[in-house]
Amino acid sequence: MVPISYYVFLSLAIFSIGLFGVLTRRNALMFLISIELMLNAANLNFVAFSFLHGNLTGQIFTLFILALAAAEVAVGIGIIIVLHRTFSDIDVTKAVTMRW
Amino acid sequence: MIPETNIYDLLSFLFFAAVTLGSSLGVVMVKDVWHSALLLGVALLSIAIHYIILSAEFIAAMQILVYVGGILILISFAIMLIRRNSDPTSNTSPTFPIGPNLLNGTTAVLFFILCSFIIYSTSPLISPIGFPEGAQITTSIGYSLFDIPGSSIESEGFIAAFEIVDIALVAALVAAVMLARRTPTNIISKVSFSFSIPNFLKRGEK
Amino acid sequence: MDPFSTVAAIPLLPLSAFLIILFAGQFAPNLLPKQGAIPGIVALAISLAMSLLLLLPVSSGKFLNEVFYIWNPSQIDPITGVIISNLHFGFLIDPLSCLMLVIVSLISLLVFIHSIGYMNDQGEKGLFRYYAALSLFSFSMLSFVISDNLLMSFMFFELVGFCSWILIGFWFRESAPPRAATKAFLVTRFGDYFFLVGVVAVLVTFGTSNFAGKNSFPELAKSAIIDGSPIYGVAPTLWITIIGLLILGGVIGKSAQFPLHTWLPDAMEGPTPVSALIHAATMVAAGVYLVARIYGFYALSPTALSVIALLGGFTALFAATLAVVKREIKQVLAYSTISQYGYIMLALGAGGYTAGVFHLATHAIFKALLFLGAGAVIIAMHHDGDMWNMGGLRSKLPITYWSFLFGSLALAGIFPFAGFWSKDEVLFEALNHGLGGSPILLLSYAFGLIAVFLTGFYTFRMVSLTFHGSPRSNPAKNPHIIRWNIYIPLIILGILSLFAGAINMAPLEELFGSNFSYLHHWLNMAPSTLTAHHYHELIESFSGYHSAHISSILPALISLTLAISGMALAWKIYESPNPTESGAVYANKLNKLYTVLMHDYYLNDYQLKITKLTRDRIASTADIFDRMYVDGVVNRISLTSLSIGKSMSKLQTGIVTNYAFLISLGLLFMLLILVLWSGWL
Repeated sequence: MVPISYYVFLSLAIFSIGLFGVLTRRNALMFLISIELMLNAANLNFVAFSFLHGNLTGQIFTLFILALAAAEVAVGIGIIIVLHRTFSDIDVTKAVTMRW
Repeated sequence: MIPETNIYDLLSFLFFAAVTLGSSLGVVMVKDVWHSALLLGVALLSIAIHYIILSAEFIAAMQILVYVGGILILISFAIMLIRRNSDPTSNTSPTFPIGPNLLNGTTAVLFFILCSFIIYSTSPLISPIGFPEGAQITTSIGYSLFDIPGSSIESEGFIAAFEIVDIALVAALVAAVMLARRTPTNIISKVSFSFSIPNFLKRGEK
Repeated sequence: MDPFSTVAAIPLLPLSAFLIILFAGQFAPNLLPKQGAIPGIVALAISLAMSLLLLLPVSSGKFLNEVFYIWNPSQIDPITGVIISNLHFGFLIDPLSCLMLVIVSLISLLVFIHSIGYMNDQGEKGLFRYYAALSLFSFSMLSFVISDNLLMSFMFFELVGFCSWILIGFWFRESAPPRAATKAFLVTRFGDYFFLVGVVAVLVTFGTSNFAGKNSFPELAKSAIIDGSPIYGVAPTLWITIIGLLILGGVIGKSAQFPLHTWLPDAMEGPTPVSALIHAATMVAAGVYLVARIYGFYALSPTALSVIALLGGFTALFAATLAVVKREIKQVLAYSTISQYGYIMLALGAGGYTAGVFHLATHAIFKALLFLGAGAVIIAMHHDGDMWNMGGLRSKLPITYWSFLFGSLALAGIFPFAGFWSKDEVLFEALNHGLGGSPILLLSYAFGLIAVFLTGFYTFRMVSLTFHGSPRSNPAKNPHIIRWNIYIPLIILGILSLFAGAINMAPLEELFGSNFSYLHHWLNMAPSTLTAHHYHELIESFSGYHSAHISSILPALISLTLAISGMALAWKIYESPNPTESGAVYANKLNKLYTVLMHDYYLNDYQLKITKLTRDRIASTADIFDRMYVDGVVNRISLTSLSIGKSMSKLQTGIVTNYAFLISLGLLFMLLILVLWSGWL
């Protein structure tokens, strides 16, 4: 069995990549996809530590996060549809009416 | 109970980790949304394999079912439904901007560096304990989820969280539907529309 | 009944009259048919009677120096261990204060009677305020006269000024009287500021401000000079001079000497009885009375005495030149008052304590008489005071004419009227001590002598223009009726101005050898530190005034001649059926001088200019300070927060990725800080 710290590094890497995607991409759907990546990184971390301690809590937690991620994507897509309707473009740098 | 690290474990881990990393890099870096969605699918599948390595078979199954089979499909539908005004065949999807947004990206890189430093400098974790040989993980998950005694593996009770997530899912469902319906264009209908929630049942398509 | 035990009643009777008039006037006006004159007259009549009764024990050498009420008990200074005596109200009844009591109460009573004719009979309204203020004034003046320490004197000094403000501005609905009242108050207040500093200096230096007794501050000052050790780092004589000059500031303001004289001509805006009482006989006397009261202190400092003498002589001449050209009768009398108080100051500065007090007493009598006479004339002329509109009133107002003439002759100093004796005593003292070795006194004497000529001139000009000749306007042809309440005070004062000189006829004493200087002996009856003799000793030893032992007859003849020649010149110019000012004498050569004199040597304008300059500078500095710093601080604080807010709001760019960037940046920093804090790196 590989030392758990490897899994921690992996999850950190995936999380950072997801964060990179959130910060740099302009497409709103890309935004959503990157957030999915971040959530999955967290899930991986949970499962790894559940394996470390031999406790099922981490896995059950992962189930919940899974469910909520699905719900969140659904709502997020709804928001993107409204965004598209209002601004006729899903570029997040174009939707800037709520500013100073 | 867990055997020490042997070469096959390490190799398999490295292989699947490479797949995961490569596909996620592809997710954030390719120009086309559809391509990045497909690569997301690859990444999610490889993470499911990681779960199996970590003795979380139920979670792996759920991951594939929900993420790849549900969320990815949803995202694909969204990508297909939202068209840009210009010609869809030309390559006019948003480009990867090498410009001001790169500065934002360096934050993520810095974050990675900082956190890896932290992880590196902590004392090493204990050896993984793992689950007992022949333990029934899925049934234990079921028992613990509802606070029913009888799970062979120790865990906490999640009945309260279960109920709350249930409500959250219903709320998300309603929210998504409400966001997606079309509202009328003149003001009077708008006002009366907003006051009657099940209006979409009556009115149909306008 | 011992008169000394009821001394407190003398000022308190007018005070109770004040309260009665005030409350009855507000709540029960019908109780007082003459709108408040009766309580005042009754109170002052009793006060006068009691003051006259006080003359008996005082003339036999008894005196009263008693504490009435202690309002701040004596303390020991914690640092130096010196005993600071208590602050109290008390009475000091000695010949000087007793004399002043009689004068003040007599003239107040006569003014009250005159006011019935001047104010009530002319149909004035709102007289409750008038009589109440007059009663309050009588209370404060009487209390000032019998006060036994400097702090109490200061308090009543201020109160007298306040009553003067009320009374000058009595007709406040017109524009001039309130301005005149404020000017009077402010100018005297300016002098009183220095007075207050002097009072505090006395209290701090000597620990006590009592006038009489072994522990009085003049005695302590004398022992300080004999002792010779420095007070606060300076020689004792210098320190005493400084204190004396500070107190002199208040005297100059209150007694309208140069340069703080500008308020007195304007104060003539008040009713004429007020001018008679306050600005002729009593309030302006308060200043010189104070100098006489603490003469034991002033006698120790030759510098202060020289300043007083020079200032007095100069003011006498200066005011007399201004009185020569005035058109209104009250203005002439106002400048005459300033001039005569200059004489009193000259007397006190020249070491003639008796002469100063004598002239104070006689001046009170004949100046009050002249003002009351002017009041009668103004009533007759239907409230017109311009002398060029009068004329020929002699036949129509005979009693007024004769009493006014007596008063004028007393003012000019003609034998045998009261003014002759007192003014000649003043000039004699100045000449005597001047020839004994003080050249400043000789200069002041010269000023005073020239002023005698001018006094005679303007006095007769006034009489001639008002009463002689032919009437120059309609009111002069048909004067208003004057009743007994005007005539009686005029008659009483006229008789007094004829005979009052008899109390101190020094030249006669020299001629005939027997004792005619009654006032001098009277003033010697005081407690030992307050006698005229004691002052004389102090002047000789500490101020170096020596008598030249000249005869007093020759100076008397010189000044009498000058006065008569002044009157003769006025006779020549004005004694014709139709006198004119711009006649032969004032032809083009003297026209410029005439303009300057009519504008009071532009002193009013100059003082106004200085005041405005100071006020504008201070006000503009304060304004800039207020706007730039005080407001500026507040404004800048708000501006800072507003600008910070504005810059901060630029963060809301509306771009979601920017927000995400900021969040992750914040997270990064927090992690960094946490890591560094815990020492992981």
